[in-house]
Amino acid sequence: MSRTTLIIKNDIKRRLKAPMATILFLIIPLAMTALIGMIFDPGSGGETKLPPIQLLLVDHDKELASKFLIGAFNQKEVKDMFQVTTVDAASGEQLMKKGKASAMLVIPEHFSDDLADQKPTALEVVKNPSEEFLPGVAEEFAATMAVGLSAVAQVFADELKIIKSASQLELKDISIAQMTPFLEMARVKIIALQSYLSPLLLQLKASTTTKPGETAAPKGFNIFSYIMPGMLIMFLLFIVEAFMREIQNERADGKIRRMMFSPLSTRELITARLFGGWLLGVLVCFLAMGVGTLLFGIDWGNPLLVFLLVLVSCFWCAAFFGMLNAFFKNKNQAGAFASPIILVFAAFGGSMLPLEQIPQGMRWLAQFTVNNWFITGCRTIIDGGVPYLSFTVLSVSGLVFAGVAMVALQRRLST
Amino acid sequence: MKKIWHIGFLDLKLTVKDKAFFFWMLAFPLIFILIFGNLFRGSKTDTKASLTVLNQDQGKWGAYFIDKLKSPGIELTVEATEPKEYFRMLLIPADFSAKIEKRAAQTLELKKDSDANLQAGAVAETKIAQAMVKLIAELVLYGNRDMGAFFDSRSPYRDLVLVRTRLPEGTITKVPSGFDHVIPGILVQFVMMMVLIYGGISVMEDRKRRVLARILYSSASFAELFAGKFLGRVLMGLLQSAILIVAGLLFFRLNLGNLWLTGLNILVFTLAMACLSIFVGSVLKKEELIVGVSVLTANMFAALGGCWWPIEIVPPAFRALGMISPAYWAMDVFHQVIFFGKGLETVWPNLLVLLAFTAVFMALALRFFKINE
Repeated sequence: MSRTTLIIKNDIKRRLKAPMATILFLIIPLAMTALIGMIFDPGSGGETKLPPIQLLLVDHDKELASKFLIGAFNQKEVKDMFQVTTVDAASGEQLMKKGKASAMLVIPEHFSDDLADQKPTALEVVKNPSEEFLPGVAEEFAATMAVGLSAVAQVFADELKIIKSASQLELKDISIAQMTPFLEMARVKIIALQSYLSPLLLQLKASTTTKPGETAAPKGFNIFSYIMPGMLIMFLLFIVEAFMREIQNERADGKIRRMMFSPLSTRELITARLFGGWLLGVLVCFLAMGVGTLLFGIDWGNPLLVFLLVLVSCFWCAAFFGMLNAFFKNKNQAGAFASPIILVFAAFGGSMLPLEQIPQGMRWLAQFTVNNWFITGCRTIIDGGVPYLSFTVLSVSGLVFAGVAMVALQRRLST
Repeated sequence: MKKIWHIGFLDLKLTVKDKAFFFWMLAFPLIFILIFGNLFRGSKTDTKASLTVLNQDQGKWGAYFIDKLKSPGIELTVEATEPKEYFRMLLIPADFSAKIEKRAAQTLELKKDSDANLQAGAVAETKIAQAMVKLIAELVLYGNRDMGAFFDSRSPYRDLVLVRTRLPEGTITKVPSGFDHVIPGILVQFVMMMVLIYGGISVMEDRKRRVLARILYSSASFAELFAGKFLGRVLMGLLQSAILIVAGLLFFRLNLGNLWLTGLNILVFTLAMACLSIFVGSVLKKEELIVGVSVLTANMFAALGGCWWPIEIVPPAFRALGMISPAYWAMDVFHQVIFFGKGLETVWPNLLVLLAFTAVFMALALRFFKINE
């Protein structure tokens, strides 16, 4: 067995004897994936659902138009979206002050009368200031209802006037004969309306487009497979970094100097360290991916391509931290700078949040991170493609880093 | 008291002297604030629900429909040929007018870029639906008359019902910015991370290097040593908070509401984290393990406590689960004070819960705090 193989074997053995840190850094991405995945799991429909929006409703009108508006909240889709509680104005305001609802919709006094008279009126939406999204959804819904009500009020303007004046009369004062022409007029309008509404004259079909080389998330996709690659590469960086930092520890406690008394060359030692870090990364990565498949049902795609991607990514990690350790003066410096570098990679590379959510001005930074190439590579393979670009970038830059590490570490270790 | 202050202040001094101090305490949280504060803004031009309309219509109706789309919340761009880049594009087909005039049903296509802002996309879709309702209403009003004369004799749609928005009385008067929502969350998360990591590692290293034992050779008692270590971690948390608050006020016009209450909230939260860090540093023997446990704990607490995303979009079961995280209670105080202008009479139960966390973590720290390995 060559000296290099012996060192690799010994290093891996040492790691496996005290595996707690490695296990912990393996648990973290799995735990984070589980938590984020469970919170935002889109379920069978393929789209992440918001929890029901707590909406308070204050009805100062209590007439036909407000009943029509309140009735809209009983429609199936709307009912799933909003949890409506009817309250009086004072208690509604109190509840809003306590932040107990996302929004409060206030229907003004004389709302129905104003609509019947074709006079402008206004719904009021009181928004919870501590919430970022749900009050906005309630506001847009109110705006759509306002457009619908305006349209209905204009289409049935005559009929609304009749209803308004009839509501002010006693039942004995209303005769069917008087009502018949207006009912007939309404019937004609309803028939006309049907020709526009069934089928709907104008409909909207939305589709998601992607840039060349990108694929949109298909319906029913596994959210865990979307989150886990980012988490995995982030903590893989921590694991490989800790392994490569051993060079500094061994330098500090004189172990390397003692090893150099043996026939071992610095080149062999560095090669062994780089291969050791690479091998540990590959083992951890496959273990995590296996657990991801078992726990979250992730289908990683073509095994050969996954194997290649893991190989080049872990090689990149080992080479990169090998190179950095050649430039760090001691283990304290390595400890101080390595973690911030990993976290910056994670923040800009798409590990902490999807790349498409990062402000556009910062997105270009992603191409300088291993996280980005690993994540996009995994997604391409999962979607059935071949991540040529990820393979090329990671292997070429990895080889460059390994070359620099080899030269610079030899110098560092010989001083 | 002097000895406690001396030990605590020395710990803080060592932290500040650390090479990565500037990165951890300022640069990294600022990167977070910038990313998360701008999270749902695709770009400068996508903040106002931008919509590109590709109008290929041969008649007048396409332009008329575009007119209906105009509203304050939407930024329209009309194109005759398909542009290379867009956030979302509505296609008005060549036979749009012909079909309208025949009163034949048709479906318009909306293409959305997968990278575009989701919230702006939802607004744009709502505005398109509203424009459709307006157009259909005018057509219904027009009735069965000759469509050729529509533009001369139509009854235009009028917005009879408007929507006015306001914030609850007695709360803030200005709509909060993304940064007002994000900075408290990042502050809470970084206080947890910094105090746990720095505080935990230094307790472990002081024990390993026998610094703790050497301190006890001086006139300092065990209680003073423990109190000094505790104070050191509290000072770390307060320093981290102060740095972020100053940065927030200077660069992001952060609104903190009642400064005293906000400060009290940070102090009580930091007390809990200081105790937890001593416990972690006492139980674990390796730096890697302390970093791992601290990262896991801080991230889990932050995610469950509403530091990463607005708690309102989290399913109710996870919202309830969030109560096990001290971050949840601290974030709730921030919301009450910053957004609702509440006082101590409202937030005292939260502060009590945080003090209960402190008591539990303090008991654990005292039980496991060791002078020697």
